[in-house]
Amino acid sequence: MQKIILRTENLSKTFPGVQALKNINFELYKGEIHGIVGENGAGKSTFVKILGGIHQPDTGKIYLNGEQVEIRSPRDAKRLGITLIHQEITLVPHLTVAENILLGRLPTKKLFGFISVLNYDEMYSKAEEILDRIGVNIPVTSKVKELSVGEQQIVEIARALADEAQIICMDEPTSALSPYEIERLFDVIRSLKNGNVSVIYISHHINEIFEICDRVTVFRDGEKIGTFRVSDVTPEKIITLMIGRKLSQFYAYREKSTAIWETPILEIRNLSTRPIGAKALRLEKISLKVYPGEILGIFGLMGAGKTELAKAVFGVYKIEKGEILLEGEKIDIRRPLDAKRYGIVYVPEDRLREGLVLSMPVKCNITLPCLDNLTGSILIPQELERDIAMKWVNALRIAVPHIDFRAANLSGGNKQKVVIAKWLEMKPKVIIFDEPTMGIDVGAKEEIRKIISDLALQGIGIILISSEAEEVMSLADRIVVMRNGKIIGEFDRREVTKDDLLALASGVRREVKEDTKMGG
Amino acid sequence: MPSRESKDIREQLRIYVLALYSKEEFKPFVALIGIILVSSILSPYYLTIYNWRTILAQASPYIILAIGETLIILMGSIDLSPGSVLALSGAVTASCIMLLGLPVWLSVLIGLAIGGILGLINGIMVTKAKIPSFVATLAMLAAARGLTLIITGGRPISGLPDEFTRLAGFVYNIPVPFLITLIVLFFTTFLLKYTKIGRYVYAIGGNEEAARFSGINVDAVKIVIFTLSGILYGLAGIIIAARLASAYPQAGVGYELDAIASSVLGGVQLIGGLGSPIGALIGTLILITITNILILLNVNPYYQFVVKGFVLALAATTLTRGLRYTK
Ligand SMILES: Nc1ncnc2c1ncn2[C@@H]1O[C@H](COP(=O)(O)OP(=O)(O)OP(=O)(O)O)[C@@H](O)[C@H]1O
Ligand SMILES: [Mg+2]
Repeated sequence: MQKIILRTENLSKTFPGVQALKNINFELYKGEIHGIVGENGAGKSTFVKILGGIHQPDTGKIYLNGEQVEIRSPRDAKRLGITLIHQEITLVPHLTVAENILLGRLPTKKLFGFISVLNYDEMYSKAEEILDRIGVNIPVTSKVKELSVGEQQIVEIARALADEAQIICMDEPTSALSPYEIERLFDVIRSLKNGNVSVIYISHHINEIFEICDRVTVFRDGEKIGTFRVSDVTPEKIITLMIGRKLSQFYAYREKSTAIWETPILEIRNLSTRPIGAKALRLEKISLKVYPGEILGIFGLMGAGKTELAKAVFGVYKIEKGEILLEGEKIDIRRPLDAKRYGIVYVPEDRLREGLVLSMPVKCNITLPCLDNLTGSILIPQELERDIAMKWVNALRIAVPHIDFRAANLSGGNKQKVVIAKWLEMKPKVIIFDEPTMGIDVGAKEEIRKIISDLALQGIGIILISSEAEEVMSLADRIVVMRNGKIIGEFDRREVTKDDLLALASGVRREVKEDTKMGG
Repeated sequence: MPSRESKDIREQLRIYVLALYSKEEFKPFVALIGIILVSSILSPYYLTIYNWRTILAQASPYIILAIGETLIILMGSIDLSPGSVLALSGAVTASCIMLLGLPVWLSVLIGLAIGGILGLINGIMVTKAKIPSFVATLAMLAAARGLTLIITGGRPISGLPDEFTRLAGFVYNIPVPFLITLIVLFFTTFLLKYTKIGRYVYAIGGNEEAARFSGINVDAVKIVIFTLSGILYGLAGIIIAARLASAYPQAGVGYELDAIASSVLGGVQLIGGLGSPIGALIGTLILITITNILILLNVNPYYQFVVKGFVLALAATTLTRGLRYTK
C-alpha cells in the first residue's frame, strides 16, 4: 500500500453561472505521476488552481500528509511544498537560469564582515546541482530569454525543486514543446518520481498519459468519474469516460478533396523576410500554392518558421522579397486589415495575446472581426450579433453559461474555440489555421477537424499549420515540410508516412529522438 | 454546456444581478451614495437645492473632461493634455468674440474645432509617429499652454458678453453646463455601447494585439477618439470661460490629474478595456462632493488636497481587488 501524500474530500467550487467542481474526492500517492484528463471546461485547471492557492474552494477539505490544510494563497501553497506549473511561463526573462531557479532564496555572503552581497559561486553550484538531479544540462549562466520554451519549462521545474516542492502540478505542459523537448520533459518527470516527488499531470494527449502516468483520473462536467491504474485501462476506455460517448474513429482520414486544381486561390512566390524575433529566424524563398477547396498542411517542429510564414502572409511581419497572389492576381498586404479585406484570415496559435480580448464577453470576441462586414452603418446590429454569436457557440459547442460571459473566465480549450469561431462568420477565401487543436480535448478536436474539412468543401483554401504529424496526415491533401525558415519538402499525403515527415522535419532520416536539438 | 434556449426566469435574474454587481461602476456608485449620505448628516446645508446647484455647475466641466479622458484610458492610452487644450480653446473662443468680433456661435464652433485639432495632433503623434501617449500628450500639455500664453499675452480676456455667459446660466435651477454634460454623457455612452467604433475602443484597450489581428483599423480608431476627446476638452474650456465671463491663460492648470483621478475613481481601469462614461461622472461627483463637504465644514483648503490624495489611494486599493485580467 502506497503512502497518500495529498487527499481532497468533497471539494467543490462554483463560479458565477458555472459549477466548476462537484465533490471531488481525490488521492495522490507519494512519488506517483498522476494524470488528469477531461473535456475542455471539465474543471481540471480549477482543481489544480485550488491546490496551488489561486482559487479557494467553496466547500471541502484538503489533507496533506494526513493533516488538514488551508491553502489561501500561492505563498501558502509554496510553503506547503505544492507548485503549479502552467503553460504561461512565470520566469523573469532577463535574469540568468541560476537566478531564476534560486529566486527568493538567493545565497549571500558577507563582504568585509557586514555587507551582505550575492554569492555567485554558491548560486551557480547550487543551481547546477539541482539541474543535475533531474539530469539536464542547461548552462546556469545563460539568460532565460535565450532558452527554448521547453528549457524554460524545465527551469520552472528546477525552481520548484529548489523550493523543496513535494507536489508539482503541471497543466498542459507539453502544448508548446517539440517532440524532442517532450521526451526530455518526460525524462525529467520520471526523475522527479525517483526523487519521491509527486506529479499531477494534466494533458489532452491521451498517449502522453499512458506513456508516463501511473494512474489517471477522469473529470467530466466538474465531477470525478474515476481513477484507474493506466495498466488496467485502454485509451479508448478513458476517452469514452471523458466525453460520455464513444468516439467514432480516432484520427479519421478526410475524404478525398474536391479541390479545383486550376488557378491557385493563394500563391506565394519566393517570399523572404528579414530575421524575426529573438531567435532571429528568417524565411527564405518560400513558394507554395493553395487551391480552392484544398487543405495544404504545413508541418515542422517548433521553431521551424511556420507561424512566421503565416504572420508574414497575414501582414504582421514585413515581406522583404517575393510576392503574394490571390486568385492569380498580385496583392499587397501591409497589415492584418489588408489581409482581412482580401479575405485571408489567420487563426493564431497564441490565443491569449493575439486571439482574445479577455475583458470582453464571448459574444463581442466572436463578432469582432466581422462587424465591419455585417453592416455599413456605424451602429452594431444587436439582434444579428447575438444570433451570430449564438450560432457559433452552438456549432463549436463552446461551454459557456451565456454569451455575455467574459472571455477571461473560459477554460483553455474553450478560449481556443472562440478564437476559431470569430473568423468563421467572415466567409473568407483563405484561412490559415495555426495549431488549431492545441489544448483541445479529443471530442472537440474531432469537431474542429470536421469544421476544417467542411470549410474546405465550401471551396475555401486552407493552410493548416501543425506540429502534430497525425493532424496534417489526417486532414491535408498536400503536405509541405518546413525547417529553419525554409521549405524542405512537399508531398502528397498518400505518398508519405508519419516517420518520413518527422525525420525530414527534424533533419535526420530516421531516429527522431537522437539528435534533434532545437534552436541550437 | 451550450447556452440553453429556455432558461428559467430565476436563473436569468441571477445572471442580471451578478452582472450588475460585477460592473466596474458598481462599487464607485455605492461609494458615492455613501459619501452623499454621510455628507448630509455632517452638514445641514449639504442637501439644499442651492448647494446642489453649485455642485453641479462646478462639476460639469470636470465631468466633461473626465469623460474625454475616459475615452482615451479605455483604449489603454493616457492623455495629459486636457488642462492645456481647455485653456487654448477658451482663449481662442474669447479672442474671436472680443478681438475679432465674430458672432458667439461661430466663436464657440472655432473653440471646439481648436480642441479637435489639438486632439487630432495627439492622435497622429501616437499612431503615426509612434510616440507613447504619455509622452505625446505631455508635449501637447506644454505646447498648448504656451500657445495660450502667446495669444492672450498672459492676461485674461474679460468682459465676455451675456450672450456667451448664458452658456453657464440656469434653467429652472438646473445649470445649463450640467444639461450639456448630460448630452455629452448620453452621446458618449451611446457611442461606446452601440457603435462599432465604441466596440473597437474596448477591444483596443482590452488587447491591442488581438484587435490588430482581428483586422481592426486601430490607428484610425485612436485618431478619431483622440480628436473627439479634444473637442470635449474644448467644450469644457468654453463652459469655464462662460462661467467666469473671461478666459484665463492659467485656466485648467493641473486639471489632467483631476480627469485621470475621476476616471479611476469611477472604476475605469488604467490598463484599458474596462469602464464607462457613467463611471467618469460618478468619479467626478465623488471628488467634487468631498471638496464641497470640506468647504461646508470650513476645513483649511490646503488639507483638501491631502484628503483627495488619500481618497484616491484608498479607492484604488479597493477597486482593483478581485480583478484578475491580464492584458
Ligand atoms: N475565474 C472564473 N470565473 C468564472 N468561471 C470560471 C473561472 N475559471 C474557470 N471557470 C469555468 O469553470 C469551468 C472549468 O474550467 P477549467 O479551466 O477548470 O477547465 P479545464 O478542465 O481546465 O478545461 P481546458 O481543458 O479547456 O483547459 C469552465 O466552465 C470555466 O468557464
Ligand atoms: Mg485548463
